[in-house]
Amino acid sequence: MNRAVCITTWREFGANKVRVILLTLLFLGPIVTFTLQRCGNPEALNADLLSHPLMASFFTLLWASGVIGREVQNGTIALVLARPITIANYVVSKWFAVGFAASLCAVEAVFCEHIISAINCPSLLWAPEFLANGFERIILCFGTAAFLVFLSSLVSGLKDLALLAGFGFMFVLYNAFAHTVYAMFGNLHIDNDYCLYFGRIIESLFTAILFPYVPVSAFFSGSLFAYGPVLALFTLITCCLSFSIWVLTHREFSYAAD
Amino acid sequence: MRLLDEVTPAIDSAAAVGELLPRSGIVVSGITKTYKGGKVKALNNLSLEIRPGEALGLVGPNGAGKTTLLSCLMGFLLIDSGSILIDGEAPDALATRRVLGYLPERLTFDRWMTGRDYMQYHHELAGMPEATRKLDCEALLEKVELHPSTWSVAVKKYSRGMLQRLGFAQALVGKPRYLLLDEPASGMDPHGVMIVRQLLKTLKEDGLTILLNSHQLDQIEKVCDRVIFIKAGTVSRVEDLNEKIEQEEHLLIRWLSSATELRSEDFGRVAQKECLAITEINSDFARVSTAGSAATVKLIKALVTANFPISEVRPEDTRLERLFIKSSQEEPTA
Ligand SMILES: Nc1ncnc2c1ncn2[C@@H]1O[C@H](COP(=O)(O)OP(=O)(O)O)[C@@H](O)[C@H]1O
Ligand SMILES: [Mg+2]
Repeated sequence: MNRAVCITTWREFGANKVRVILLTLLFLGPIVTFTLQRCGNPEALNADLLSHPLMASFFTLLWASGVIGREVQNGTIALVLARPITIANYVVSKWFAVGFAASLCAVEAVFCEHIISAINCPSLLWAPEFLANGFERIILCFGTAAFLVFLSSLVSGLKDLALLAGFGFMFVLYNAFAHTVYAMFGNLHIDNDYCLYFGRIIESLFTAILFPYVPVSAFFSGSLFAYGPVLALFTLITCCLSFSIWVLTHREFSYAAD
Repeated sequence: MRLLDEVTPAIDSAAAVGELLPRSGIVVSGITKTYKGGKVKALNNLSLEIRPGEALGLVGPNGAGKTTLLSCLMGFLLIDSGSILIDGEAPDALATRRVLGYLPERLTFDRWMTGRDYMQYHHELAGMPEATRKLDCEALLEKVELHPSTWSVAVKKYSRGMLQRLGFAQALVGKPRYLLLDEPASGMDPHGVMIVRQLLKTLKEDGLTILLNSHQLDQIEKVCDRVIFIKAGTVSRVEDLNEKIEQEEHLLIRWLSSATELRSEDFGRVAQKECLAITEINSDFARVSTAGSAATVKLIKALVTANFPISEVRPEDTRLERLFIKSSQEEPTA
């Protein structure tokens, strides 16, 4: 991991006013809503009241969009890779920088919610729900960051957002398609288990990539169901980072006028 | 200053270790590079060699493939065929990247950084020790004569000439052995051009191997040992500038013009013997061509002996300019 690459990634984020404003809004929005909700209901910690771990995905999206693509667009990546650091090192540093920064923001957000709750109702101090939510966020951040870094290494500029939107759209299309097929089977009274299983696998693939969620509380209670998502998470991170290293190794950085 | 003195011996010994390693220069053999899936052929079976310690000039018309060649040497572009060896290693090897310094033609910066940040960032990327970071970077910025008041200004506020200087300083980060420069003086003011020329001379004396792509032929002529002419992606001519050759020279001669008519007639009479041709003759100046530098000396001597009041003798074009014109007139050999 390269310190200089990480720090520069963070500082570049700070230099972009639009991103900083978006980050602030993303940070304040849930907290304000949460505070209002808690003020009306100071007693119970209802899991629905906590902002969803999905928030972490948004933080990651904000940090990760164009993390490599913008460097390609500006042409600064070539001068970085002309220095004695490997492409693998560069990619892993970018991934870590994004994952770490996004985790920090996301955990900070849940920490604020925790403090507000504890002020309202001191028995909620260090309630395990908050801890679990925080861990889930960290995992989500690093998982999503790997996929977004991969998308960013494919394109230049912020086009990775378009790729992500395309991927999400495919998921929606697939869902609609699958439901139509299931409904048809239901009408025809066909009981095709294989078809259903296959459909499930594709659906979980999409979910594992778009929302690499590990149910931390299940994991702590020793439930076997938790190991599937953990395996999926590690596969996702390994595959995404390897692919983006491969892509960058085979990519050309042209300085000539075209 | 005291700190600088402490730091210097360490650097010197590191450089001495570098000297002991084998250095075979840059060997490019038969590389071909196409763009757009083979439609545009930028480099066509190009071979050249850059010997350790020499300064090699790269000259050629726009679109000849000079920038493409440098990008291939840096490993930014993947070549279609042929091979490039830099000190016996591939361009994308880590060992190679440690010894290369590069100034791109199209300058790219992290524009939100300050000049100093940018240098320190590259210093860290180059794996240089943190202890000397600040001093090293400031020394380099001073070397390219970027004014200290601009070091803490964001790069996006820099003028073209300042960017060029910062880019040059960046190329020197990490004490490279090879310096690949793509038009280092483009967009610079005359003072900047002079600084670059002086800098190149010092760097060459320090033992750096320089590949200089420049449209400023006088700069190449003053700095380089050899020149390679590139045309349509191949080497069309290699010229050794240290080797003295007799070649037709074009001169402009001026004299004091008091008794006008008499002077120009006198000039014709004296000069005719020593010149190949008198292309133009006027009341107070003439353009002539001679067979070479020996003939030029003879001509001037004859004029002086004849008490002719010459005030100025100036070459009309330089050797490189003549070569450049000649090589662009030549038909490319298929
Ligand atoms: N990215 C690119 N895509 C397509 N053609 C290119 C690209 N870069 C350069 N070329 C073409 O390759 C040739 C060489 O370009 P270049 O190396 O920039 O020349 P020079 O630096 O000598 O002016 C030109 O004909 C140019 O049009
Ligand atoms: Mg060029």
